[in-house]
Amino acid sequence: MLSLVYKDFYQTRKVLIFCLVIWAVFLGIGMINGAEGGASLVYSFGIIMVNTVLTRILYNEDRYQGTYFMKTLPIKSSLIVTSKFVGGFILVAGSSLMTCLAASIICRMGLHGLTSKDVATATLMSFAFTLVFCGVFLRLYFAYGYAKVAQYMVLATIGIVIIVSVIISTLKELSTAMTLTAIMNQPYWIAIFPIIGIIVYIECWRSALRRFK
Amino acid sequence: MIIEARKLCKKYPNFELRDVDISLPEGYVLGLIGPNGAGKTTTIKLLMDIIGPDAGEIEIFGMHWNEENEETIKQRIGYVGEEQPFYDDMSVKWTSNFVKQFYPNWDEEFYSDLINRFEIDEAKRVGDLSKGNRVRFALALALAHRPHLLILDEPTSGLDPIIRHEILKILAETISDGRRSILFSTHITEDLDKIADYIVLLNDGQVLLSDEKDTIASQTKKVYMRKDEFERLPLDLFIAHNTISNECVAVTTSFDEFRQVYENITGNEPRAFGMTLDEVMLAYAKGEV
Repeated sequence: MLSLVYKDFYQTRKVLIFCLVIWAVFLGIGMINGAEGGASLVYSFGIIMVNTVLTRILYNEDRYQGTYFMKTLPIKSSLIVTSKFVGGFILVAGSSLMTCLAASIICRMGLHGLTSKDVATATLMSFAFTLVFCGVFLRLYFAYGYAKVAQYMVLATIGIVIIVSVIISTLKELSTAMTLTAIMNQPYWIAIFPIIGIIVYIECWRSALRRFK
Repeated sequence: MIIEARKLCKKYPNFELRDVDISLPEGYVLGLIGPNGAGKTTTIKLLMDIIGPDAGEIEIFGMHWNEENEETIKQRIGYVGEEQPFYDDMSVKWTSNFVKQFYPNWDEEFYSDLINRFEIDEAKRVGDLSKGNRVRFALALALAHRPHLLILDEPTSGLDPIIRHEILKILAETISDGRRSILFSTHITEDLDKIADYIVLLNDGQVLLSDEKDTIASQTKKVYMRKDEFERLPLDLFIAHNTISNECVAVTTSFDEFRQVYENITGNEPRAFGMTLDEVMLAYAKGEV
């Protein structure tokens, strides 16, 4: 299993390095630019990274008939599907950590009015959104193949980036409101996003398994 | 039996495989022949569990394909596909390292021997290998774990006679211990003349002929006779015939029976000639002599 996950990341190592550069650029803009949008850019990094890397992984599989190749080897069909979902989860977790790190740096510098709670909430929301995006992407890939799915997911990425930006702006505006602060002070509120994300992701994985078989 | 497939069916919008039966005993070579689009690759993909059948049963090494047996069965199979699906941007070395971790019986020494014998540069990207070297590399990967069953889907297609000869030589070496079996799909039937024990002829998704190669050679003959003699014989003795003025040439698939009937009617010995597998395929698939 891990060798399949490692294979995917090894094949996309250049794209991963490229994503690190993007992260640094986004962080730089977030640190320098005092204008609105700096924080949104940082929070959008997760979805951009997951879309870029996942697209490349699935493009490789499609271009070189990777799934066909693996089906000729002694690898269980379920493992072929599961390895992609495990890889996807690692990717989402990694991108969320990087998002959190960048947001924390900005928060420490006292920019964009970000508080630690904002960072935690937005990071977990970003994690949940990205996880759902990744799960749906993989589910559709195993159902319809790369070519059909890739074009729709680019549109979905743009859509999600806009939605995340809007939500973050709204949260920032309301963060002073007592009601929202009270809600966000509850630990379960912060946890609910990733839990929903994980449930959707697991369902996508199970559904992809059934479809692939 | 190493392979036992019964009544395999697979339906696509423009093609249908119908009731295909294939049996391959241990230590033998089965040649799967047929024109392009006959269903050879579909049959092999079904046997390899790359696609699932709509109907029918497949047993490999006495086991059915299922989640539990999938890994065990494939560890005993070496597969060389028509298109050799590899990650072209990865090196030969990386690819072999990736593949070998899935085979507990991987013989590194044997693999290195094969790679050296084929003169393949392991530092090269797979995509930079020539067509011949790509097939050689695929064959090295397929043989390195000493499989009990080798499944080859048109591996010699598009290769020059020297490489084809080399590949056939290696296949002959592979089965020399009498414990390994080969399923060899091809439309270059002369390759099978050299190594096959059994022949299955597919056309338009159906099995037209399935028998031992020697039986086909002894029973499928091209026979020459006069037109009036031909007209006195039962038509079901022939699968193809052609009449030019007073001479008739026909193909019979039951030569012993034909000889008896012919001798009874004409009192003469028939003029009969052996046929190549190409000619047999043409007679069955197109009804042409």
